[in-house]
Amino acid sequence: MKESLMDILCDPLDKSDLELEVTDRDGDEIITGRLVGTVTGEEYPIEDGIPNLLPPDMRDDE
Amino acid sequence: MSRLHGPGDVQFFDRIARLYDAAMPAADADSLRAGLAFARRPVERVLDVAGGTGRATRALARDGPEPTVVDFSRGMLERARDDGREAVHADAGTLPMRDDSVDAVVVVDALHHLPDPERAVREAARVVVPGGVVVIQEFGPRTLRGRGLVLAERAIGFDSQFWTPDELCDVLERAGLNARIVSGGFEYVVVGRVEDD
Repeated sequence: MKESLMDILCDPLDKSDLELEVTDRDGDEIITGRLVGTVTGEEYPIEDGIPNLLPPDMRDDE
Repeated sequence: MSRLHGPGDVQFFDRIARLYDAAMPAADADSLRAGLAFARRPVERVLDVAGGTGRATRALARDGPEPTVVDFSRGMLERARDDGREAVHADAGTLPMRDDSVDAVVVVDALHHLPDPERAVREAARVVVPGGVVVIQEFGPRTLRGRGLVLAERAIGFDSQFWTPDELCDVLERAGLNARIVSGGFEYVVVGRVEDD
């Protein structure tokens, strides 16, 4: 995902702001990292460029 | 209720992601463009909700804004990402997008696969800015080909619901949108505009 996507993203649970933490990037593309709910504290992983913003109870924790 | 393929038929789409683009025809981009033209503002930010591999909006992306693909199936999204598209793993009924954050949402041939279509339409209406539009392409269940599709989807275990264009306009109106039919037939398009309060 590109950092500009942060303009529209929010926490799915309460629609509050997310904080972006980047682990690995390739140019303007964020490959690995996480998004953290500033109110809920929930952590949403970014893996292989795709943020997983499913509500935690819908995640497929394999 | 049959749930053979899991919530929103996701497990099925995870399995068939690699075959999907070859098997499905290109969506009718002209009807989608006509729906987007109902917006009263420039359409720059677009979400392709339940967009899978991004197939349906690839034609739109070629000559306009590149829709961000939102889907419940990680397998489908990896195809979209490999195609250079922005991809977000999310639930159409619990969108991780801010209120009034996009100019349009499109849902192409997918609303009938969602576990709670009315909720997905309400979420779409929430994230679209006033003047923007929700454009939905669906299959008409009362056309000849539509009747065949309804039977085929039931035969493979999908728990699909289908609407006539008028019924789908009612769904959009219940979500507070100003709805109208863009085009009819087997693959019809309806649009709902978010009006100012």
